[in-house]
Amino acid sequence: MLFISKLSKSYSTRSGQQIKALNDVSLQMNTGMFGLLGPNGAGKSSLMRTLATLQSPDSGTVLFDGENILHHPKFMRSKLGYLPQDFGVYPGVSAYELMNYIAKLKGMNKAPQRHNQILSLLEQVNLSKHKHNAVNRFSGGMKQRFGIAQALLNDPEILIVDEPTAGLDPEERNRFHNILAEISSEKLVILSTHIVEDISNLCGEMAILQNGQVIKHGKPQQLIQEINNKIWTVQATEEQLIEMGYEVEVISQKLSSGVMSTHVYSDARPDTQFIPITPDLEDAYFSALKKNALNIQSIS
Amino acid sequence: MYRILLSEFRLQALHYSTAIAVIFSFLFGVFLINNQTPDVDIMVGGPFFIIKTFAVQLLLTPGLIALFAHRASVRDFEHNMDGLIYSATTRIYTLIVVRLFVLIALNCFLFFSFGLGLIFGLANDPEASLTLGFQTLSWILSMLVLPNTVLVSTILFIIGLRSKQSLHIYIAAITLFFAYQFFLMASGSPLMASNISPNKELAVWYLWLDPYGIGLFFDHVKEWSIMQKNQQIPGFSIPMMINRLAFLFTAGLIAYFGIKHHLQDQDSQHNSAAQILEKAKRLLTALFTPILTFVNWPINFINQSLNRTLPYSPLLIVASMAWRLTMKTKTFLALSILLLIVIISEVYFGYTNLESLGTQAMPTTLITLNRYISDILPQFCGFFIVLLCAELCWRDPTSKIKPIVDCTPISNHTIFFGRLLAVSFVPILFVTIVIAVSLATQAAFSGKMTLYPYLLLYPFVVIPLAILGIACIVINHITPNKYWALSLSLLWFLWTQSSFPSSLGIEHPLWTLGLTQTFFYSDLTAFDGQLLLFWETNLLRAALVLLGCIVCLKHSSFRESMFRHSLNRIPYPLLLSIGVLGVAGMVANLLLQTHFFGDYQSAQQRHQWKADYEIRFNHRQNIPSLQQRAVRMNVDVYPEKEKISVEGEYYLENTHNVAVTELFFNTPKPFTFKEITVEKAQLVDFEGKFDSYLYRFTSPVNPGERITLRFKADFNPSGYQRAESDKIITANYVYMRMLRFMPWIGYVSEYELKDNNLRREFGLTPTINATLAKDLKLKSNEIAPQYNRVDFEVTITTSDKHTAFAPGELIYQWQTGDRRGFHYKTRSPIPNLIHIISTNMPHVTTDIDDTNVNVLFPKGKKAHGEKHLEAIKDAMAYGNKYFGHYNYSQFNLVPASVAMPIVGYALPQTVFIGESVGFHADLKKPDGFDNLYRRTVHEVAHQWWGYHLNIGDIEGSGVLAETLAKYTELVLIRRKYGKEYAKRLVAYEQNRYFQGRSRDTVLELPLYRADSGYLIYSKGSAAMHAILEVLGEDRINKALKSLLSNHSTSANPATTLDLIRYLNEAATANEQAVIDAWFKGMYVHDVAIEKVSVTHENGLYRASICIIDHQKTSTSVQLTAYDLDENIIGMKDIQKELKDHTCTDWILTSQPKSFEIDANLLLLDSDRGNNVYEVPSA
Repeated sequence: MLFISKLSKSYSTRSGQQIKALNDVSLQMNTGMFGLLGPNGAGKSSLMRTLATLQSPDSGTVLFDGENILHHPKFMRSKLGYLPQDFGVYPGVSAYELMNYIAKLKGMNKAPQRHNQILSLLEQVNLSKHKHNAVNRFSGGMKQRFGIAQALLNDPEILIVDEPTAGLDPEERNRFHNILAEISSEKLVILSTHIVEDISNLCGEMAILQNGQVIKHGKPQQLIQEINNKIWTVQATEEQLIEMGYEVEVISQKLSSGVMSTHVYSDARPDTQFIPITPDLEDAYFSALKKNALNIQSIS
Repeated sequence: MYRILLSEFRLQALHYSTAIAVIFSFLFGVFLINNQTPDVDIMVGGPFFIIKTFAVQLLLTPGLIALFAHRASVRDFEHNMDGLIYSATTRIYTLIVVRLFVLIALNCFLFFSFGLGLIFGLANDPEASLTLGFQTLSWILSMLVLPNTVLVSTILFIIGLRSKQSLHIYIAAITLFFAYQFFLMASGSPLMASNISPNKELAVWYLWLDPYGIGLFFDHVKEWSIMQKNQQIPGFSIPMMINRLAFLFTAGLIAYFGIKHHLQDQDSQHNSAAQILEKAKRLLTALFTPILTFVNWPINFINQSLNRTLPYSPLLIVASMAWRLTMKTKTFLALSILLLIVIISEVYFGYTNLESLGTQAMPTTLITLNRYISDILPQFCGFFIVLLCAELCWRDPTSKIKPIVDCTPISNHTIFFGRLLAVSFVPILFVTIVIAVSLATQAAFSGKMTLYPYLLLYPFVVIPLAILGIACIVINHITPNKYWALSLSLLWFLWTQSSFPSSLGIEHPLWTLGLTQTFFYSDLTAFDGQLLLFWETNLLRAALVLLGCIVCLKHSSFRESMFRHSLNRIPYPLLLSIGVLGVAGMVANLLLQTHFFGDYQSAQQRHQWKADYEIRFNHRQNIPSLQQRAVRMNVDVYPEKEKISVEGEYYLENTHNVAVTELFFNTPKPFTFKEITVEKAQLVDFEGKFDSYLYRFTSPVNPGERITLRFKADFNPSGYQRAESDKIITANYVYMRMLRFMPWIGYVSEYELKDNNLRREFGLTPTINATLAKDLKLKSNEIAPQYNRVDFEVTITTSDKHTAFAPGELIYQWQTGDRRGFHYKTRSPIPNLIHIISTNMPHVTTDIDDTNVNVLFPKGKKAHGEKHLEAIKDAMAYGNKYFGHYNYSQFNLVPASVAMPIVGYALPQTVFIGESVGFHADLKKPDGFDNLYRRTVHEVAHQWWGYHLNIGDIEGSGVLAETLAKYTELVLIRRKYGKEYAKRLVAYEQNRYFQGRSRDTVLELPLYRADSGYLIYSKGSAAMHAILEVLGEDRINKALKSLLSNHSTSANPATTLDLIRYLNEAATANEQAVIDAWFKGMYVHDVAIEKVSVTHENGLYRASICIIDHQKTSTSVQLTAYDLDENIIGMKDIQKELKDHTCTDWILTSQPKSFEIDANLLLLDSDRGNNVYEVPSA
């Protein structure tokens, strides 16, 4: 459905240095929820903005339903719903008014149809009681729900949501996950996040980005499977392990009930102190990042 | 503490914009000082000039401070840093005070930099003293800059702190800017071209309350001579010190309470102060909500109706949302209310202050319209558009909704043109508000409303402002951030609305993209005569904006790939063609309309032309030339086509004792001369640059012999022609002073540059600056060429809707088809200021003795016409009786269109009265001064003092024309309204004298040598009043009649020395001293009653009165005592030599309530506030 091929995008810093935000990114996405995972600065938002036709790449192609959206952005925009990472609203404008405005901009030219869909979407995101309240006075969670509602206007075929759950409380996050899950049954939903749990909860397919490159692409279970029996935990910090003379590949450290445990990646059990664990997506994510970092180091 | 200070300096000052502002201030100072009008006696390096230059720049203080205030006060809130900053360990109060301090210091430094620029600019001036310059700068910084900067910075800083929005700072700055200009007008400041002083007492209060202290400075120096202005620093006067300290204290209070409340807000929402503030906010919101609802209701209604009825239109969606968001803001509401207040007050002052003497105007459309068409509306609305465009274009990025909007399928063009549509609606809305308010105000004043002129506002105001809006949208789309966009938009706006370009030497209105200040509505000519400039200007603006749009289409970074893909669809050659066509049109327009191919000359070109003319033909002034004796013309006027054709004959006579061999003359533009023939002569030389002809006679013209010069000419202007005091050609109204445009015989000395600085600049030797006596001997027998008398005969044909007037007697008139003809012929020679008028105005006519008098008036103003007729009757009767019989058979009074720079103007047989002052006074309101009568009798008086009296072409000639006309005006007003009424006029003239004196830059001369307006009109009027009090009307009139009868021929032109001689002949020795003091002295007085004590003895009241003479210039003063009913109970002259303090005893029979010194206005007293002493009640 969406084919991304060799997409590259660079930015210039003030000092004239070129930074590659996207480096030959190639992906294929089908209906359902697609998760983009990566640390800050990995290029997730750049990719999202490019897909949302908000910026032009330096090279590469993006085909949606066979159309190159980089040459025909209007085609993409007519089928797109976009929830930016950090968005704002006009002050003093009610939820209904703003939805109505965006719906018109999206080309919904029939007033009754527009009205019905706005009411239905506000109901769907549980904001119908607040439809006449100014959006700029909404809480963070309400604002995000409004964001998803506006993105769903005009029934888009592709929905791009960029870090939608950042800053939400657990209840709002759950509610948000449910809405996304509901939507993704019929559409392509691209979810960008650095919260691994969001991906594991929602996405049927995912890609991990680092330094503008796709370092892993596949189903979450598949990525977890790749590291099965290779993740070990030990109750010590990375520094302590080094002091003890272990040369292990530390992928993450976690403080749990006041005790620091370290997850390491190793084909074989490094020592008896190391206990095997069932890996989760977070382990897969961190191990992928670590491996990629090591690869880059060894190349350089 | 110092670390906070340092970091604050770094944050506020270490920015490229600060560096730009400092450098720009410095260079602007250098530029100002090096580009001064040279026609001055005031030294450019003198304290007065530097302070005045500085004072003008201080008007910009709010704008300048606003540029930096937002960084000082709202940066935390705009960058969401307030949480971090306010929770830091630093004492927040200290931090805020430091920020304010840095803001003040930064702005003071900018002004210091400007001052340094001024002084640096003086470095090349050998006459300038740098020491004096630095002393002056110190005075300015301490007395003007520091208090002003502290005050304005504090206000803007606190507004920013409280509102947390930089937009509010800008709006406040604009409001302060306009409010202070209004204040200056109200206080009668010499900085303003027009004043609206409601009354004298208020003006004094205004001076005390002047927040910038500029008024006090001008008041302080109004008595200073030029020498003092050039060499003396004002010092620290008590009123000024009090004023400055009071405003510093006010600034302190504003800062204290502003910061206190801000911190209370930040600390807690629950403390009492915050609760009070919250309540106030709620109250305000409750007050505003109905208004907002009222405003929003029709918008919502229209919006919903449009939603239902109109087809889906993305353009309207973008535009309507832009508007709805704008109108929802309190800022918009506040600006709209401000606009309403400004318009209502403008219109109110227009009705109540037609002229400074307090005449009330009828609430007519002309008065209403011209109050704001050229000034308030374009400026106010323009400012709003500049702000709105920045808001519109940056609203999406600022509110972070941009990514949502940008990824909708709405096209880039729709967003761009939707914004244009929204902005174009602003002037439509504002004009509608203005019309509604104006009509309502007119109705409230029971005025007669005419809608059509108001409707003309739509094209004439909306089009330029819509273009401004488009330009601003373009600027906002191609600039990287809001502040750059705002600055560039403001620059464009200022360029189009201010006289700034002409100060850079860019003088033609087209280059300045249209100064709307010259755009007036006239009942007589509507906007005719100004439309070419209007359309050309706006075409030019449109062409520039079109280019801007193309640049925008290509380079806008507002939306990624904003037009890039669209551009691919538009063939590039087409785009290029549009751009090239736009540029070509613009350039062609400029070339045609300005001096490149048009007749227009810039001031520099005019000066150069005059200098070249003088150098080229100066030798001709000593070559005997023939003189005009008679002029005969056939003039065909086509008003609708704005065309004139002339066939003329000059009968030229050799008035010299030797034969004349050559005839030299010039033919000025904009007439094109087709055929020129000179009897018995051949053309030997023609110079196109000067349009000068030299004919050589086949045989010399002997003394007394006459020859004929014949010519045919068409009025054929090339390029923009502005209405002038000697020419207007429109469909309703044609007037032309023919001598100005027909061949000028001989060397034209009027072309010579008069100003010595200009003469030096263009390589000419300065003119002789001799004493009057020497000049008198040299030139006493010369008269200006226009006073040469000729017989005049003219046949005028014009449209059948018009009546034509010309000097002379109407011999006959006829009509053939759609043309009417008029034949005029003079009975006796008249000064060669011959002119023609053709107009469709109605007129009233009557005969006074054997003179046919016509008063023309705008349609519907017959009552005014009859009032003028009464004034003419009075003036003519008085002139005929006391000065000699009026010389001519006809007299016309003609309204001058407001497009012509005329208030009152006299030609032989014809006087012009500006239509707004002469035909819009409210005749039903007798409380105001009868300016209509005053203006008319003054202009009629010029028939004697100007055209019967032959005035020598010499310094002081203006006194003979204007001072004597002012005298006639004064006595006629005394006769009609009484002495006390006339004293209002004298007091007004004395006040004008001091105003003129404080703003004048030319060395003051004694009255008998004077030429400056404030001397020949105002001091002249005061002088003649004082002499009238001493000599009485009969003796003065006899002296004036003698002057007239002995100097009515060109053989013996009169000078001011002749006037003084005739007055002295009618006076005693003591009275002669008074005459000499007024005409030859330059005395300014300041007498005051210091104290009075009254005792009651034996039924009598003994008053002991001490007077003080601050200037030590008075030799005699008059004391007046008033009783409890304010009736005069005694007058007493104190004749002895006055010392600093003089005390006198006075026995009065009634109880005195007050004493007044110089109640009869016999002295030029600079401060009349201390002339009255109220006796304290027992």
